[in-house]
Amino acid sequence: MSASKTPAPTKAKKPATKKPTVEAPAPKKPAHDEDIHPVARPFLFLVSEKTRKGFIYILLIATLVSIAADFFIHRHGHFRFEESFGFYAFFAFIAFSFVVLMGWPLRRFTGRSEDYYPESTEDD
Amino acid sequence: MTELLSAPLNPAWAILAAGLLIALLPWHAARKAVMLIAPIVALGFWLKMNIFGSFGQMDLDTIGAGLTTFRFDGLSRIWGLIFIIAAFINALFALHERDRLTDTMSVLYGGAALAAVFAGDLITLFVFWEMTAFTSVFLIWRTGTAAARNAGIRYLLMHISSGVLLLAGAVLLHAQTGSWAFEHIGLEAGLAGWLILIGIGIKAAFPLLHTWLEDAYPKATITGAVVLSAFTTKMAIYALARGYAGTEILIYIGAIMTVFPVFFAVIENDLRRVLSFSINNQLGFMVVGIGIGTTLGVNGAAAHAFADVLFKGLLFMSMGAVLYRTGTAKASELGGLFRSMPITAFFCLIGAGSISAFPFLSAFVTKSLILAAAADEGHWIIWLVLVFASAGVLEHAGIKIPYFSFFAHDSGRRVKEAPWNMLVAMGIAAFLSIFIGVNHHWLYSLLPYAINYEPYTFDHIVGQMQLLLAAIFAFALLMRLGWYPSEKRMTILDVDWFWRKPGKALGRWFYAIIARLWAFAMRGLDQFFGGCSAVLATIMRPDGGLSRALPAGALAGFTAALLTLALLAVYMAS
Amino acid sequence: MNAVLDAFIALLPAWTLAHAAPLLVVSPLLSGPIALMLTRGKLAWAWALLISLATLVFALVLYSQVMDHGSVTYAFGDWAPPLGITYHVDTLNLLVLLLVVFMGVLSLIYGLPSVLREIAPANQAAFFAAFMLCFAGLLGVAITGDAFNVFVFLEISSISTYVLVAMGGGADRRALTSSFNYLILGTIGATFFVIGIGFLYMATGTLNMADITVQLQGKGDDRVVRAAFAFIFIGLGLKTAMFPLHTWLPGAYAHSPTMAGVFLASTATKVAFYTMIRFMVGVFLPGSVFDSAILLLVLAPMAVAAMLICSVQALYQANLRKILAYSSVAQLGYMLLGLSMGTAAGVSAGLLHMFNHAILKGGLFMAVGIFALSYGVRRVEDLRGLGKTMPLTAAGFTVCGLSLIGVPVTAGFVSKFYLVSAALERGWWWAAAAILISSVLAIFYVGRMLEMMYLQKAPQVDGKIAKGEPVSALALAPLLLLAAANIWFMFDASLPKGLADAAAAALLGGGGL
Repeated sequence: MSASKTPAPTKAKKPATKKPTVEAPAPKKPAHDEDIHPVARPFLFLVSEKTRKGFIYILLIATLVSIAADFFIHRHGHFRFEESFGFYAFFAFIAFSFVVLMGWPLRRFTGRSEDYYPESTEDD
Repeated sequence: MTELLSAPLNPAWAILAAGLLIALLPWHAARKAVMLIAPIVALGFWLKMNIFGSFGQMDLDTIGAGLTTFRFDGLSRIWGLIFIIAAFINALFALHERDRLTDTMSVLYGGAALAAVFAGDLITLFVFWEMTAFTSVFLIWRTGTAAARNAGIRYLLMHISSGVLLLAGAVLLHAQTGSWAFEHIGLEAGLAGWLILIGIGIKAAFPLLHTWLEDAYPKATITGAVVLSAFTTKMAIYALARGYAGTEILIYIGAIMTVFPVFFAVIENDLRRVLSFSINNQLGFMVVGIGIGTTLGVNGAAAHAFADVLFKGLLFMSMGAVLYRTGTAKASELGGLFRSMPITAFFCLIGAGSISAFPFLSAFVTKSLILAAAADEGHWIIWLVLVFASAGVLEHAGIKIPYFSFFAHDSGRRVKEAPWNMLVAMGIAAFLSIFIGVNHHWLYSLLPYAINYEPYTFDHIVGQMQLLLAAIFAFALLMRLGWYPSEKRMTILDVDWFWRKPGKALGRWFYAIIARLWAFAMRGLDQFFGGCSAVLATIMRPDGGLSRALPAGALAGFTAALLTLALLAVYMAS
Repeated sequence: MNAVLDAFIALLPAWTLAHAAPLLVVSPLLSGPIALMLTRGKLAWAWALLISLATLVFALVLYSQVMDHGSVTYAFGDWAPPLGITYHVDTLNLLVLLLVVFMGVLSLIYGLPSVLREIAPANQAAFFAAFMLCFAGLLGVAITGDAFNVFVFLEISSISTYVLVAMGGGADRRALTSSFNYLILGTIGATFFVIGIGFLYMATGTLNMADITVQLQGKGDDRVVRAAFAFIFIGLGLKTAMFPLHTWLPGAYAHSPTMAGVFLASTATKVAFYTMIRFMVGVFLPGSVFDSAILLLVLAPMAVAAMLICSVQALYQANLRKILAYSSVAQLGYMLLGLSMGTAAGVSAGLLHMFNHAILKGGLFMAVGIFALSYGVRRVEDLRGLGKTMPLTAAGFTVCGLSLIGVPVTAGFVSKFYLVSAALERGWWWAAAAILISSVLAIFYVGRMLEMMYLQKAPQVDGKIAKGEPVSALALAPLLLLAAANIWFMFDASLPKGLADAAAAALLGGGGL
């Protein structure tokens, strides 16, 4: 995501040099309007620089609001620990982060070059 | 005439007959019409069934078995319905495809799965069980690559073994009980119970028996993967629910199944393989429900299987549409596609939301049954594992799939929106996912047992929103910090260069620690068997030792030696 | 069905009814020399077909008589049994007789195009003459109730088989060495067998098989009897291609003329297997210590070895008929395994498998023969694309191939099912495991051929799919009939199963399953 500062056209050149794919390969002149599906146009703001940056704060606020709900109403659960303050939020945050971060050692451990299986070289 | 109309008709025959008809039809349009009409006819048969019972009895005198080909009860009813719906959606999704072989095989495959679900005895179950394997493998082979061919062979081997184990268990069970009926089996049945459990376990992708799934599904054809995702594994879940409800070991097997795919899905680059891991993870939830075995647990497994066919099919369809248009389903080569395929992106988001159990989408009302069942029985560790796995589901299926294909940074690919038939098929699946989420009473009324559960409580909605929002926030944060593995990988330029070089291979990541350990073990075994097979080859070859024409004198000597042996045996016997 | 048969039999003259048993053997035996005198291939073929159809009538007469009376005994010249030679038909050999007669007729119908192609015109009449002698010999072995007579007919069938195999020498020189090999080994086997008969005569003073059984009562410890048993066992083992005495078979089946291959593969070893059952659990007292010892210590291990080793060998062969031949040795292992269990269930399952294997292997050899006639197919890789170019023949091949594996909805499944059940009933779980493993191997060697046929592209000439010779309907019809039979006998196995059960019960007491 750090690369998103570079202007779109240069970004899009790289894919254009990719090997040709089955259907329409990425066009040389990529990004702009004439190629974008009409339905998608009203939603382009979603990928604007501002939204991208601001999105995380929106999420943070939403999460805090959902946790704050616990201040006002007592959640009933099957287990005692389930009813503790913000249980789902904290548990999910930790679980999610753990899953993602475990990707690093796991990939070191299981990652291989793509032609590791000889048969896959015939793929394309 | 009225009698004929009121007789119970097995929906599976409609689909199987359609499959045979399709095999003979030379016209593309006619085949497609039959593919679409058959599930509608089957649905008519299904709707007409207003009583439970066993029908379609046949006697198979050759092995002294009375067969029940059509058992309609609470369990087979809901599975029958979802398989019929899946058959229709699959036909629609494949409407553009001009291929008689895959048309035939996908319809026969769906029909076989449906017939297996309605089977009332183990022999019928076995026949259709194996038929699903033999028909579905063509959906993998048809991709035409060497990788697909080999994966198909591995797939077929495991599935044939599954059937053989099932049959062996059935024969043993018959020897013990004198009955071929397919009722509760359990591990009380001893060896027979274990054999059948392992046979089913292969198809249900139990840990260590699961490799075929992640191996073969991503290599299937675009439409094939969609068809495959619906039937085989869910049929296995049905068989588990029928034969092994309340078998405690399933709780732990299921819990492991929910967790381990989650880790591998994070680093997997092929999005269709990510979805295969996701199947494995969702099956885990169902297996836990069956292992708990209470009416709520089995209801939960059935409801979740129903929902899973829809949302997993939806996700596979959206990735299929992407693959169809762009020629790849690899996260590293995609991104930003919502600009070109906004409708597909929208449906994909519905599927992602459904599988992640957003309120008012299907898994919210189905997965919670299983969690509640676990909690009711006091399995708090299992419950925590399931919540943990739910966060993992959100990671790979809820975020990774839509984010890396349709959003993330723009790959610059500008393609056409998916064909209309794919959009309609996705639309139906998306609609049903929402419909179930909103009208959960409709689904609950189809469950095998009466149910008294209300998913839309304040506690449940708030708790679930906490979970979802916090997890999405964690994703955003990790991305921002650059700690997310895929993002990092994409910046490794030399590797990019490497796989873009013409003629070089694709398929970049290794999928699993188990694959790794497996490879270690296999290397050892390979050396062993490699040595053995070299020896075997020299002996067995047409010009090898055993097959060479020996001189007649040596043969005579041979005969004499055997005669000596026989004489000794005869004289020694007392 | 039976009503039709009865009505048909009512039309026959009385002498055919009274003398059906000898006529069944004598008519083909005498027809041989006449076929030779006809000199023209097609003429000899028509004559042979006519006679074989006549034997079919006699066999059906015997079938209805056995169904009515349980068994039929024909004493030659009205000499009472222990002295004179008798022909004896009961449920056991009725099954074999029907099999041989039907396969003989089908082979003849099938064989004309291939014989006209493969055999030099001057030899065609001789080929059919040898075929009829072989046919008569096999029927004689199966029908006779006299132990020495068995030897005589065994030699008639064997010697004519050497000739049949050697006639493949025109197209394939290896037929000559194969025939020679078979001649040496076959003669050794026959010699051992006749030595055994000699010993038996020494111990009992009679050659009538029923009488031998009576005389053997209480002679279980007699060393001569024991030696006789061992010699007969090995002699017949050789004829049955019991592992490791099977080495003559692959060559003989693979290099013989197509029609001979079809007929031999589906009948010759089956008749020998029948003879083995007749002697080992019929003539000799079943349950005697030496009988059980041979069954358990020699026969069962050899059967299992055949099932496993020869299946692997089949996997490694390149020549199609060699694959089928090695598979035959493995399948004979199944039958012998059934016999080695020494129970009624085992023998019945073995007999049922014998029947099913005859119809499926006959079909496979027919299909391969048609492929060879049309496209010159010899090796596995030659099968490429035949699923498209020759769909009917390929379909027949596929059905028979699936039956060979034992896939449900084919007859092969039923007999394997009974074999497994019988093994488990006997407590021989290792035998059940061997059956399963060997079936998995069969999946591979059959699958390899099917994969070539259906998943590989047909070879092309100038961008078009190469055209083969058109398939003769005469060759195709018997193949499709056998393929249909392979499915029919899954759903209604009452004919072979009923006969096999009755035979096993008569030999060993007790019912089948």
